[in-house]
Amino acid sequence: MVAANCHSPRHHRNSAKTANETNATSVRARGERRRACLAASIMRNAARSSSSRASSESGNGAGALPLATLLFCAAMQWLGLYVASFLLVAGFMRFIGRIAWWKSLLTSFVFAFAMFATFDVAFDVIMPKGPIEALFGR
Amino acid sequence: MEAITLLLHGFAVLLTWKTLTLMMIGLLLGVFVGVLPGLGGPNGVAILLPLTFTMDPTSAIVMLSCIYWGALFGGAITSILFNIPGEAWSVATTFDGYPMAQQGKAAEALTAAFTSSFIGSLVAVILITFLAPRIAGFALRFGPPEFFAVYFLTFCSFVGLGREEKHKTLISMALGLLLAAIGMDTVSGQLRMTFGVDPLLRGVNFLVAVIGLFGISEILLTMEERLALRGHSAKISLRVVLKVWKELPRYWVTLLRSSAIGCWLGITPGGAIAASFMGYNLAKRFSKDPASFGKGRIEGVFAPETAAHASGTAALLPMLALGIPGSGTAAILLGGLMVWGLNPGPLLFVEHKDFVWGLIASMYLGNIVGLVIVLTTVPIFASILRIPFAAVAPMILVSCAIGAYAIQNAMFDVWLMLLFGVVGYVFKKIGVPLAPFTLALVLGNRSEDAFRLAMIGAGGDMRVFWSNGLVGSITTLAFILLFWPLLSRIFAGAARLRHAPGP
Repeated sequence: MVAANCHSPRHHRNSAKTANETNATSVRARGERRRACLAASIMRNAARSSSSRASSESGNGAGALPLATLLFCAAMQWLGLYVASFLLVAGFMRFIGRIAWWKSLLTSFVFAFAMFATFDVAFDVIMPKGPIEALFGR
Repeated sequence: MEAITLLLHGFAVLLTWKTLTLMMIGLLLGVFVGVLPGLGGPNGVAILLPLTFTMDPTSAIVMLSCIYWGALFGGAITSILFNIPGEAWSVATTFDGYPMAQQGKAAEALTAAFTSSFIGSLVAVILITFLAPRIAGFALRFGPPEFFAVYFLTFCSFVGLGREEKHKTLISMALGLLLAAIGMDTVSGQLRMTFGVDPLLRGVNFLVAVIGLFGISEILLTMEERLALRGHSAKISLRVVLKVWKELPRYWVTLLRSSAIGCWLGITPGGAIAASFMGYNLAKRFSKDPASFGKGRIEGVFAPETAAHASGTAALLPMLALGIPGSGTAAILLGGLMVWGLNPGPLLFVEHKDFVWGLIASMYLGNIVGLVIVLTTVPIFASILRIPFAAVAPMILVSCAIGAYAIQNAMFDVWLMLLFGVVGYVFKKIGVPLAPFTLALVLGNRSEDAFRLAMIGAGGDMRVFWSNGLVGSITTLAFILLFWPLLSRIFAGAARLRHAPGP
């Protein structure tokens, strides 16, 4: 329905998830064509085709964010907060933001390290830690 | 003049290098969270709260309040340069601030916004300095019935004066009260609604709920609606600053009027958002040229910003003097105080004099230092908004998780935060206001205790709430406010009948 407005060749893949997202999005849609394109671009995103960047970022993010958060919280218990946050930021930037690998990895490493330096070293706030921190003896 | 002596003493407590450094850090962090989309004053303070856990209470609260001032200043940057209000009360700033930026006068608009914020909060802080000790001294004579009446008044004024639909406010408030009841009951010591889950024994932590409700849900919404961040760049030079300041005396009526509105509405619970709109509308109505508003008039920046900051600051007055927060962020600062076992209310002024006056002195200093900092660092902060949101969103998420975990060192709280994030998202989608929910959550236990102590004292006689002039008038006022929407409708109907006799 919505997708008909925008050219969307490969929307079968990952159908269960995308159908859900499209439904949710289309309920909220205010009838604008831009929104319609957005819903279609979610599907296209799932199929990893190139589409306009701004809209794809938004559409995919709305569905991906809760999932990423859930995974992050689970990972926090096993890997510790800092490693989990490194993975979250890097993954998010790369797969949802479509930002280059090296930029994603660098940013997330700097971020995770800054968090560690601020909370663990400077302010003595204890966070869940995992095997990697143990390697460094923290 | 006791207040002035105590205030000077407060400055003496503050003027150490350590506190001043913390103040600067707090302000910078505050502007940072204020500028980031999806964050703002309340979330920023809640998320950065864990940073202060290892400090002594005075340094901690100085840093927290500076984060708050910084966030207030930061809200203006996004409103003017990017047309995105950082907080509900900076909405009115966008009306004239963004058009000014579009005309290439962003620097003027920003200077005007920062300066008027400064003036607004200064007026409110002066009010706090002289009024808060009086109110606290007066409230020392309050017993449980009086306290319950004041809490009741707070709840009712949220219903009566709020802009949202009344039934939704009530629903949200009732849910908050219900959640506040979870855990150990302080009067009888019994466990309530814990369902055998151990982490629930402590109850639902207010700050965890706030981080979820505001922080997580806001990111979810921002992610979905993907704001187009096409902003204007700005660099403030000393020349522009001096030019705007030279014009300032011309608008003294507007500034004074907005400050007064802000102070009044800030003290009234639930009035903080209305203040900026009211300041703007009144400036427009009294202007000689109302049509030019909304097209980039500098007065249209002065009026709402002054009112918003005056109200944001004045909201701390009832929080300090009575233990009743006047706004969402004040509620979080209240939660922050309780982490250190400081119980805001009239006794705070007697038991922790140093602390209270240190805090009030930090309001003065924080605003002055804040003004200098934001005027000099605007270009840096404006460039933050150009960072792709896909990088910012997970970082905010991590900060939220750190905040939620650090409050009680419990993984359970992180999951609870996620749950509240979903709840907040749904609430925002169906238009249920979140402020009454947080208010009920933070005041639920206190008001319940006050009510039950009053009932125990009076042997279960409800007439205790009308037993003397003071408590009686507060309770009656509360009921009037509660039914105000209904009453005003009846009055309007009656008036219409009188004016339009039947055919």
